[in-house]
Amino acid sequence: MGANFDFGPSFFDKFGKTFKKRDIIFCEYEPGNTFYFLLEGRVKVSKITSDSEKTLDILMPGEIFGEMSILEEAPRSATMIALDDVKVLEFNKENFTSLMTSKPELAIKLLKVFAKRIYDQKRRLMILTLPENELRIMDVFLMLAENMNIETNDTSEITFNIIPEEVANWCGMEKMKCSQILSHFQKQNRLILHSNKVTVTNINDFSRVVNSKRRSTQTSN
Amino acid sequence: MAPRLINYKPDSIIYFKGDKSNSVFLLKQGKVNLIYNDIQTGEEIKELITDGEFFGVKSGLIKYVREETAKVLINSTVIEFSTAEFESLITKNTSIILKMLKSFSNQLRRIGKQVQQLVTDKVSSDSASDLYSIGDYYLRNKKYTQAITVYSRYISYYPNGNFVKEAKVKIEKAKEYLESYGEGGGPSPIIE
Repeated sequence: MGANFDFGPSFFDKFGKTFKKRDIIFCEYEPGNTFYFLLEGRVKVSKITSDSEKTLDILMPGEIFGEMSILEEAPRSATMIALDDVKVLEFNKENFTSLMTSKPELAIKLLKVFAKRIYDQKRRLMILTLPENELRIMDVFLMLAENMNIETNDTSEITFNIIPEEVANWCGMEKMKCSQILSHFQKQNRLILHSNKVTVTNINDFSRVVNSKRRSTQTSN
Repeated sequence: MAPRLINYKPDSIIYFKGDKSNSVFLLKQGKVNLIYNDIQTGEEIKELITDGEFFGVKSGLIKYVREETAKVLINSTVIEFSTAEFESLITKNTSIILKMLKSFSNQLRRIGKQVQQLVTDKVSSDSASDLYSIGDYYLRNKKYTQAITVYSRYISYYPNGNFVKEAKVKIEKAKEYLESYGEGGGPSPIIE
């Protein structure tokens, strides 16, 4: 990242947009049909939950955001705020094809974003197909470990930057129900809940339980 | 290195599910099966690849592990492209990219639907009032400019919405505080 993306001034005249530091590019729940390619400056991805703002990610030049709007007319799932003065290219369904053919490097970028998202969604589907809520929660931590390239046969403690609400979100569960299970796990010394982190005491234990269940469900089908 | 032409005999495995990847394949001639298990049912699925089709694209493009096993059915010839070679090939053939974008977005839509069906506890969603309450969050936390932006967008998207009147009042309030105390300053604006 951090490379120079120069698509020429006429291209910027056509599709370019600038935002000042602290401007909201788009807001969670806002309807949206545009997507963006970040040219200059950083963008913060955040979500407001239980009256506090949580930063999910910080995007750097060269990254694409808002791309799901090309697929579905769903409200935005997070808020994008300019951390610096920001320059972006803004696209929509109408100029999409001409853009993709004139700037194949952008199209390839988008292709990669989609490929990653397909892997992520499939992984999420694996969590959701588990038959019990407890298993789903364990599998969320396994997924996070995989994303961090941690071997799940590791028996040492691992700390994840995640709040119960996000865990609930990943397993498609009600917040309250998820918190109850998490506290129950804490009582069993399987994990420790911090204010915005969770430490799993033995990820290998989770891995064994989830995998044995996953195998047995699949063979019984 | 240049793309490599490889000949396979029936029953050969080009790659296994779970293998690390750094290449994309094009079937020049022959028949190849992609074999994987359905995530939901565990059922084995075989997808037939025929002449002129690419395979191993998703994994190869982002160098993730293979999602399926590629098994050769009859004498076949494939061309293996490294990720970089594949990228430069499609850069010159944008119609391939568009086709793949279409296929990827169809896959995403399909998985998205499956995910939605399995999310049991659906959170009731009223995006309009949720958007409005984000404005409230910013106002309460003295982020006046952001509050003004969000309320204004609420009004422009939902001119007949339930909170248009309140949003207008709050915009005025935010402007007043911004002027008197500056961004982040002043007592916390009281909102009901």
